Amino acid sequence: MGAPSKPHTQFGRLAAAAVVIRALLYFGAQSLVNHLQHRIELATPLTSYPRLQEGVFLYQSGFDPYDGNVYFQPALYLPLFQLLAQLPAAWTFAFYAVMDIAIAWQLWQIVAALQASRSSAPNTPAPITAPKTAAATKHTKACKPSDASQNKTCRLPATTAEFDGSVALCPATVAALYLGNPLTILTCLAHSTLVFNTFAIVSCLRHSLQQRWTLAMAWLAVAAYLSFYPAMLIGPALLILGNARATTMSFVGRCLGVLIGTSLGLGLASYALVGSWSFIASTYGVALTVSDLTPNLGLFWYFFIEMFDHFRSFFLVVFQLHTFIFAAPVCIRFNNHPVLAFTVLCGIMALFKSYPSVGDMVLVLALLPLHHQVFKYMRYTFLTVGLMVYALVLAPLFWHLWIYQGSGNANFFYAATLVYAAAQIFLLIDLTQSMLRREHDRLYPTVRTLLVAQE
Amino acid sequence: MRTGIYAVALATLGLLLPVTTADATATGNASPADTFTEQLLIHPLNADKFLSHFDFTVTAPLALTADHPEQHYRLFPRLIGQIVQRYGIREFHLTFGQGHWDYERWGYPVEPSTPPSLELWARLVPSEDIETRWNGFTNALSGLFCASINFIDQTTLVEPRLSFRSAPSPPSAAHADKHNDEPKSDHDNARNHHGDGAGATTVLRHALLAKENVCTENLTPWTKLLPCQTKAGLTTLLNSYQLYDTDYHSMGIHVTLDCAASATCHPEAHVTLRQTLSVVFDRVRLGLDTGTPDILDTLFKRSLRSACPLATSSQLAVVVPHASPWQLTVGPSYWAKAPLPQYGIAVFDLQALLSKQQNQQQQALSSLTVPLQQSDSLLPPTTAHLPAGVTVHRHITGQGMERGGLLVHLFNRLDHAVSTVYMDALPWYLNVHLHTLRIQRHTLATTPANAVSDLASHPFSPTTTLFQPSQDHGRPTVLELQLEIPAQSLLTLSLNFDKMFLKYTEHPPDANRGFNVGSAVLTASLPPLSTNSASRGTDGPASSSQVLTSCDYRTLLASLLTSSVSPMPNRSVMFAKPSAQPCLTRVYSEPFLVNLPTPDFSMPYNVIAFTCTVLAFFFGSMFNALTRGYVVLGRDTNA
Repeated sequence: MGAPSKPHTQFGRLAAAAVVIRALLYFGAQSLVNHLQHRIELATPLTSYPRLQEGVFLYQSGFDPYDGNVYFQPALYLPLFQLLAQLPAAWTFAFYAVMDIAIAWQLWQIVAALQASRSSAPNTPAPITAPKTAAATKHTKACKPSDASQNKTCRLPATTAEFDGSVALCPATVAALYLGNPLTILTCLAHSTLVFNTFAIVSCLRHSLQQRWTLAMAWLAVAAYLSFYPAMLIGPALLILGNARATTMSFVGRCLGVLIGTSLGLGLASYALVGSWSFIASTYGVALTVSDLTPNLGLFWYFFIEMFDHFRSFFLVVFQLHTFIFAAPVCIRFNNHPVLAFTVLCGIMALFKSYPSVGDMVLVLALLPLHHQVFKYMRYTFLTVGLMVYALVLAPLFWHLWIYQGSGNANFFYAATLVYAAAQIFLLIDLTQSMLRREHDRLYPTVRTLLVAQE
Repeated sequence: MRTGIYAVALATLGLLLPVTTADATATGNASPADTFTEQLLIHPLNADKFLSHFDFTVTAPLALTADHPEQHYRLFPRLIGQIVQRYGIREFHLTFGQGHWDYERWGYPVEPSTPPSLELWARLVPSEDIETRWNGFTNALSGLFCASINFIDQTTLVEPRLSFRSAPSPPSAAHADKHNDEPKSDHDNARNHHGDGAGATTVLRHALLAKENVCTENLTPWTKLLPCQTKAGLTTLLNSYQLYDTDYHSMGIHVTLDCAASATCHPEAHVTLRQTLSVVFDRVRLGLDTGTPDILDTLFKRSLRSACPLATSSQLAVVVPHASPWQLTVGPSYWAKAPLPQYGIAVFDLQALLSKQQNQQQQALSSLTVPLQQSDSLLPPTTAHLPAGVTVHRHITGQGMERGGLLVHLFNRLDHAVSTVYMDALPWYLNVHLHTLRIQRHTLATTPANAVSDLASHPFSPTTTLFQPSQDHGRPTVLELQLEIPAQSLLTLSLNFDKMFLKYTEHPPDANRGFNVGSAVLTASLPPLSTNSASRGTDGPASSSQVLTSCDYRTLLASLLTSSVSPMPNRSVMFAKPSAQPCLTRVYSEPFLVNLPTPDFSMPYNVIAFTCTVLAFFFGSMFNALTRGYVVLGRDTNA
């Protein structure tokens, strides 16, 4: 983005500090690192590093890694980690640390791009006259009631930038918040392969904001290839790309073409690597059918351990659909705030995907500062933070009580995951409602001090 | 009870004809085509334990059991014959076991299968419908033996590619002359299989049911297959009160066709049915220390009154140390020389001793008694235990219910390297991580039996590694390692696994007891006894290499049968020259119990309610936020 040298050195310092912290922990507490790699909070069967090692070992030894019950991760990790396996373990660590820095750099660029778009905002459309994007035009019905109610009272349309006033977000803050987040550090030390997913999602957002639609779609395809859930981010990504140009169907078509083409390319490359399509059943199949019931912080595992066999398929469909049904409504409601829609959908993924870990939450927490302007409208901040800390402290304790001490049972850990889910729900609801409230205040500045209720 | 068992067997097999295995009018002189021999070997294992090994062998020409117009069963049980014929079985071995065979103290068993559970392995003729045939086969056996053999499914079934290939061929009494040739051909087969496992002409399947108890309900159908059932002969000693009150119990049925390893069967081939029963009695528990007990009465609480008239040969062989004084009310028919110099074998020919018709030299007996003069008379000269040369021990490591590991110790106490194949089949709910497999070699000290002299471990790599990863709710993980264990060394294998989380319906009712995992099998190519004897000089009399292997026992039993044909003077029968071929035997590890993490079994409704509440909470709030707009309260009145 043609940034001057000063931000670069600033980022360099940040990155150096992040690497030092990680290296100190990695080399100073090797046993801790080995322990972290097995933590179910940090690594699920779909992102676990020990399972990846097993897959690479089987692949190297000439076995089909997808033949067994252990390796559920994408095929393209295999040659990459085969290469890393040749090198000393420190290289793998360095690779993960670099991935973290790269994610932070993408976040930096995202903030920079957001600032740039807000400062050059005169062409930012007012919400009421916002051009209908492809995603929105399909669902005009859903928009109508709100349009109508707003049209009646539409006065003093203000741009986002004007409304935000002097509050500016520093890219260094966002990057530092990501790099310094203890959950990020733990995920990095645990070598969870989720960081690649996070990187792909963040890259997609960055390139969307920078209007490089080919790269954006390619990264989205990578993210979807790695764990199919990010496919639902196509809506916000297209909104971001479309809000800045005269959107035509052909543009949407080209975007989808790139997306599908890249996905097909990745799929074919995987096929070429392992020589069969078995990877589909072992990666997406496991994520969809939840055949591995290893506990995690999500809602699926205990539900399907305890589920009656004849209702299993039904609830599986309900749960998976429930994750995806929010994609369209969120995009429609926030069609003029696509970055928020992006964040909310990431939050929904972190909450409702079949194998979530704290790494998914890290992404949401990293994107959250992009919406700093709504923080003052948030009503449950204390509750959310409290529940989050409560769940993240108690989950390992309860796990230990259940699995190692034998003095607790599965319900203890399950309760912690419920609290964790509640914390995420409060965060997402709070974020959504604050943005709506803020929009209202922006559109009706005169009634800002009056009592406002949701109808 | 008896009719019930028959009903099950008949219903399973779909047989309509009544089963008459033994012809009541038959005389002791069996036709040469169809022979039956019975043997009981009583062998003191060490100061405290007695091994009693029953061996009943029926050999019949294959034409009797093949698809022949006149199916004529005389001594060979029709039930088995029809199973073999109908399901295309070339060989099968079914063993019911209970208790642990202590290789470290007892040496090798007579019958190599020692898992403390149910073991079935078979060779089948390959064909399209092999799954159907296998299912039929296991169901037939299940009905026949009143056991859960039909629970052998894909989660326990293994098709070994290196192990079991080299089964020690069961020498039949009728073909004792061929005996020396058989191990050679088997060994050649084994070599071929090692070269190309896929080139096998038969399909080898192996399964262990780790949680299967053996009981009288299995013994009764087993004895029904014998020509004399439990009415005469050695089978009258089978007193289930005594048999199941033992340290170790193993009951087996072994059916082998001569052509087991080849695709087509020679028309003159024979089928051999061997029924074996090994029990290890504890001397203290039996109260052998008092008085001058009769050994048969003490062990079985029964006495022998007759020999089976259908048997070609009916023998009781008691292995006794030479050094100890003997006094018998009845002298043995002859003394045989045991393969180990410190023992002699007193052989009692039951037909000569007990049947009045054939009695010429000796007076007929109403019952045979073998009383011991003093309690220590059966003790071996050295009470130091004689560990088997090659043993395997498997331990489960790790704590907690999340992960675990295996630690396997493979001992080779012999003075030369031994070629072995280690096979472990772990059920699907243990997710094995092959990349954690580590093999280390330690050198054993020569003086104390198990001490490791060389604490430094050296990495060791197997000759061949075969690995079949498990599948969810499907086949087990199978690990086969071909290992050349160096002389006097200990190999330690370690392997990690994750424990899977099962649905609450998949746990057994006693979920916190754990899941049984069957034994690992080590197929070892042991040196012949002659080589062992040669190297004995350096190690002294208590050398660990002076342990009989299963093959040696088999040769011993066969040679006793052949020698009984010609009358020999006392104490001069030579033990048949041991085969120069290495003995391929199997050594079983301990099974283990693994604790899987359990959910709360009372929670289904609560979990469904709680989780769905969370989902509904989010859906409701989000729906609310997305569909409703903000309005100013009281705006109409203000305006």
